[in-house]
Amino acid sequence: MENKFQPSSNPANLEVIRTISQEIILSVAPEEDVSAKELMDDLIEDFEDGLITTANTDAKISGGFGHVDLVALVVIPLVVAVLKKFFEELIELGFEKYKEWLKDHQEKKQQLSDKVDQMVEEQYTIISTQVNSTKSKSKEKVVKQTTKRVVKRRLGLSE
Amino acid sequence: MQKRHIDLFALPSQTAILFWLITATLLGAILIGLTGGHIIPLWPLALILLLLPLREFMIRPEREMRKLGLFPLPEGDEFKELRASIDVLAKKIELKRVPKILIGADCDEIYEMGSFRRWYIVIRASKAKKLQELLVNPRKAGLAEVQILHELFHFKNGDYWELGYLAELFRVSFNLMMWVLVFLGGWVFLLVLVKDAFFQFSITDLIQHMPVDIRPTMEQILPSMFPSDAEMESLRVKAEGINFAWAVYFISNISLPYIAVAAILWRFYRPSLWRIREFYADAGVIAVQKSIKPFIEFIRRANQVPLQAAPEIAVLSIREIFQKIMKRLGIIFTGFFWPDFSKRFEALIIPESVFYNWKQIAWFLGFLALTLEVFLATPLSLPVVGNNPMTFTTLVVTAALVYFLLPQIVMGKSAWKDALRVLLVIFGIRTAWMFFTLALMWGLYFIQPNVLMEVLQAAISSVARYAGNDPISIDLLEFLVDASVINVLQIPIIFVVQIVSVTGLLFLIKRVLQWYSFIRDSQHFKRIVFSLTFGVLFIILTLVMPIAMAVLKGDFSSFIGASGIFVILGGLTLAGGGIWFFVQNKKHYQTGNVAHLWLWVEYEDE
Repeated sequence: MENKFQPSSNPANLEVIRTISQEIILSVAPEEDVSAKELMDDLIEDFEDGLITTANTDAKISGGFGHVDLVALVVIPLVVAVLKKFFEELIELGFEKYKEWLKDHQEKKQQLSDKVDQMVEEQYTIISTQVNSTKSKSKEKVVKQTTKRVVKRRLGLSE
Repeated sequence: MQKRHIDLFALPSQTAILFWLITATLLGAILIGLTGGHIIPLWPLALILLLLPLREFMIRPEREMRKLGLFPLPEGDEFKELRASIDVLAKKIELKRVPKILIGADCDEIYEMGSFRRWYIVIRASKAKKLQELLVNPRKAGLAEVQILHELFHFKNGDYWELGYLAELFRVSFNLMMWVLVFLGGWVFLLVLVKDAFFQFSITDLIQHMPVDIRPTMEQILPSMFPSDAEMESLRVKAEGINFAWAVYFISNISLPYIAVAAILWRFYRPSLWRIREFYADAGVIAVQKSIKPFIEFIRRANQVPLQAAPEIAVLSIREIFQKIMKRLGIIFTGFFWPDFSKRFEALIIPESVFYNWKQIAWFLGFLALTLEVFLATPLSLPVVGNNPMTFTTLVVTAALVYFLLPQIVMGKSAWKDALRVLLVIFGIRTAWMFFTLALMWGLYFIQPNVLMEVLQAAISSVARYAGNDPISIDLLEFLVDASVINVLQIPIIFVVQIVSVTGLLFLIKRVLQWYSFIRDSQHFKRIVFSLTFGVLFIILTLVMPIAMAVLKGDFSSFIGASGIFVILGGLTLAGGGIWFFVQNKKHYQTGNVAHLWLWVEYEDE
């Protein structure tokens, strides 16, 4: 049993996070698919190291580079944060054993599903406040809904 | 693994195309509005508008230094690596000169500026320290180099002078034309005030109002200082012939349309230029570093902060709220410059994404054509004065469209369908505007013919640059029929001229690309495209449009004299160009694809 969720260091976790994040981004901001793929692994690793990339909408602050305003900057850390909390606080399992465990605990599905909803709401507030992506703010509702839906489906919970 | 990508620098840059499009439109509007016969000579104003922005551009660095309190980077070891890095990288990308560093306490983090011979990279003091710290760390030096290279490429790409000059052209244009409006308007207003006194003025009366003891002296001095009675009478006749209302209308017509065109270009077209240059600076960085990795890492790290468990909700002060509102208003009024990062990233992976698609080109040029037509011409001017109001727009649209479609030709795609789509959109926009104007005129004819007569008088006076009191005698119905027929017919004529010239030019460029061992490098290709395009524009200007308009109006008398010489010159250019093309085509053309290695650049994109 693995009691510490490792988003980047554990290849299995990394792969699931990649898949979920990519699906959400393709649904919410398909124009970011290419850049999100390139940034994804580094953003996940950064999050594991306690760092987050912010969107700088002001060219005065970030010099000639300006405007790093991506939905992906919110979505990727959000997926990591929700899964991290899910596995560390509730199940203390990695993805490898989670599905077997779920077969024996069908009665907990609804409870876990509600918990995912709550986690997405909480983590979205924490992350989006720091990332400050105006683009994701305008898509707040759809980002939250899609994240809830895709994460729950991936975890085998009722949507 | 290194992958082949199209080299953005092998083609005429989109930044340069937009720069010349905006500049040509602004300067063309000046020349159209201010040259030619006027009731007062306005060519000095045109000269000032051409020269003053150049002067302001030359002294811009000094002005910026004073305004922002910028100072040169202190000598010594504190910023040794930063200075050395700029020096090395500038030489690496073969810049003509190494930019000097200016430091400011309260400026933007880092940007470039300069005149033709003096180049500066302006860095905020705190940013300079950060860059220096990165550069002394061998593992992180690459991150600082990305940012320095990006700024250096703004010099390499000519952004510093294109944007600097255009910013001054806009500033001077607004200020000067507003001044013209107020100054000339003030003069006319003053004349209106003193008009009655002037008409009743008499030297004899003036002397009678003076003290008795000085009258004899004044009777000797004053008549020599004022015009004689006969001259005064002549002046009165001339003054009475001036319609001051038309004069005010004329002044507003030479300044307001120009201000309106400049305002539209500034709000809607300038942001695209400011935005697109960033793609080119990024492409330069990647071409040097041969990989997008350092660039992406730089962006990530430059914007990275430690994750907070529960961030505090910031309570904004009144000043911060005010700043936010002002920033939002600024974006509304001036447009947002900086491209979204995902777009910039896409441009590195797929450089072709920088080029405009046909829909963007259509709205870009369609709106421009409409703006020029609304503000610089009027459907009334063609039948009344005989000038073709759309020649300038036709030239601008043809050149811009060919340049915008060039990437498709180079990449071996067919561009004629897109050319047709764009021209159809412009045709639709122009037709809609024309019918809207004509419908208004016909509506007024049936409802308020007197109002229509006044509108026509004003428009004709303005276009004819006439401010006399004599009424213009026209038969309303005959005028409306003429205006409708000629204006409606000129739309398809211009459409056909543009279709033939654009598709013809695209064919010529495509054929040149199929000439074996002809194009040596990208510079040679750009020169060929330039020569072909401007050769065709010259033929349109001197030969095609005058003949088309003469056919339209059934009047060929204008070809006698100077206009005839231009038609001959246009014909000679067409014949000379045709012979050159025929000879070169016979010598170099071969079926099949010709490889153009200068079109590609290799770098890692994953």
